[in-house]
Amino acid sequence: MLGEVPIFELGVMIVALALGAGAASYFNKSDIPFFIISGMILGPFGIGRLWEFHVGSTTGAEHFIEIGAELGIIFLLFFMGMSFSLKKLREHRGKIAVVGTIDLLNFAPGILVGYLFFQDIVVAFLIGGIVYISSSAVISKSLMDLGWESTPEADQMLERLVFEDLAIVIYLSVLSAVILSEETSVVSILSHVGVAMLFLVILIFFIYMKPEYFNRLLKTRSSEIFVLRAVGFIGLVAGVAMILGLSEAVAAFFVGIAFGATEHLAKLQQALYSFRYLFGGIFFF
Amino acid sequence: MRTDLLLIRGILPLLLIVVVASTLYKYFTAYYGAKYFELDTKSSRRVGVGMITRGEFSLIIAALSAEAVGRYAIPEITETVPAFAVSYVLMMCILGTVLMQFMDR
Repeated sequence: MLGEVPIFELGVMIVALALGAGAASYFNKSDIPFFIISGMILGPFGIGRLWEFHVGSTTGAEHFIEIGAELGIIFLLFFMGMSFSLKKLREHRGKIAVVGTIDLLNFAPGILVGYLFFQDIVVAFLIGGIVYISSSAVISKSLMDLGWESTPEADQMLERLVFEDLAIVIYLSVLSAVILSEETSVVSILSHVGVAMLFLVILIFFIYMKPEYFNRLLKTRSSEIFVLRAVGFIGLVAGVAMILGLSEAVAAFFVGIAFGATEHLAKLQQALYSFRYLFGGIFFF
Repeated sequence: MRTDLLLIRGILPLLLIVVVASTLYKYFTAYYGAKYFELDTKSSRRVGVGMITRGEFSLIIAALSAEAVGRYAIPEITETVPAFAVSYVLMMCILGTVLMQFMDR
C-alpha cells in the first residue's frame, strides 16, 4: 500500500538525502559516502529485500529517479565545465602535462587486475577507469577543511585534477560510443564515434569562435527567463548529444565551459546550484 | 544507482587487491610527481595521500556500465562492475579522507 504513491517514495528519498547530508556535515565529512549508504538502505537491495516498500518500487518513482539521476550527471559535469580553468591549463600546461601523464599510470592496476579476473577487455577498461579517476569533489572539500588550499601541494593536486577532468571526458566519450550502441562491426562503431565527434567539434568551434552567442543567450533582466534559457540550452544540447550516441555528460561539460566564459558565471552558479545538488543526490538512488 | 552490494561476495579478492594496489599506485605516482617539481618531502606525501580519494566520477562510469546494451549487456558489466564501483568508492572515500587528516598532524 505504501508503495503505491510515487510522491511518497520521492519524499522519503529526499528526507534520506537531507539526513545523510546532515550527518556528513555533523561529522565534517564529504556527503558522498553518506548518500551512497542512504541509497543502499532505501533501495530495492536494501529494505526492498525485507518489505514490499522501497524507494523506486512504483514505475512512476522509478522513471523519475532514472531521469533525475541522468540530470544529476548532466549538472555535475556542467558545473565542472564552468569551474574548469582554461587559464590554469594554458599557464601551466607543461607541468600539467607531466604530472598528468605520470598519473595515467593509475589506469594500470584496474586494467591488469580486472583483466586477470574477468578475461574481458571491456570489463578491464571499465575497472581501469573507475580506479584511475580521483574525486574532485571530495578532494576539494578536504583541502578546504584542512586549510591546505593555496599551498604548493594543493596546487599540485588541482593541476592533476585538471588533467584528470580532461582525461575522463575523453574516456566517457569513447566508452559510451562503445557500450551504449547496438552496433557490432568496427566500421559502424567508428562512424558512430565520427558523428559524435563532429558534434563535439561544432560545439567547441562555437565556444572558441563565437563566445558572444552564449553571452547574448543568457542576457536578460528577468531571473526567471535566465534560468529557463540556461537549463533549456543545457537540456537540448545534452539531448542532441544522446541522440547522436555521444555522452550527455561530455556535452554538458562543454556547455559548462562555454557558459563559464560568459559574464554570467556567478549568476549561473548561484541560480543552478540547487538543481545540481538535488539531482546529484538522486543519482545515488 | 541500483546496485546489489551482495554481488561483491564473488569478487572480494579482486576488490581487496585493487584497493591496496590502487592506493599504492596513486600515492607513489603523486608523491614522485610532486618531488619532481621540487616539493619537500612533507608536501609530497600530502599530495600522495591527497589523490587517493575516489568518488563521483567512478560512480558515473559505473552508471554508464549499468546501462550497457547489445553484446555488452552481460551481467559482469551491468551488475558486477557497478557493485564493485560502489564498494570501491565507499572504501577509497573513507580511506582517502582519513589518511589526509592523519597527514595534517
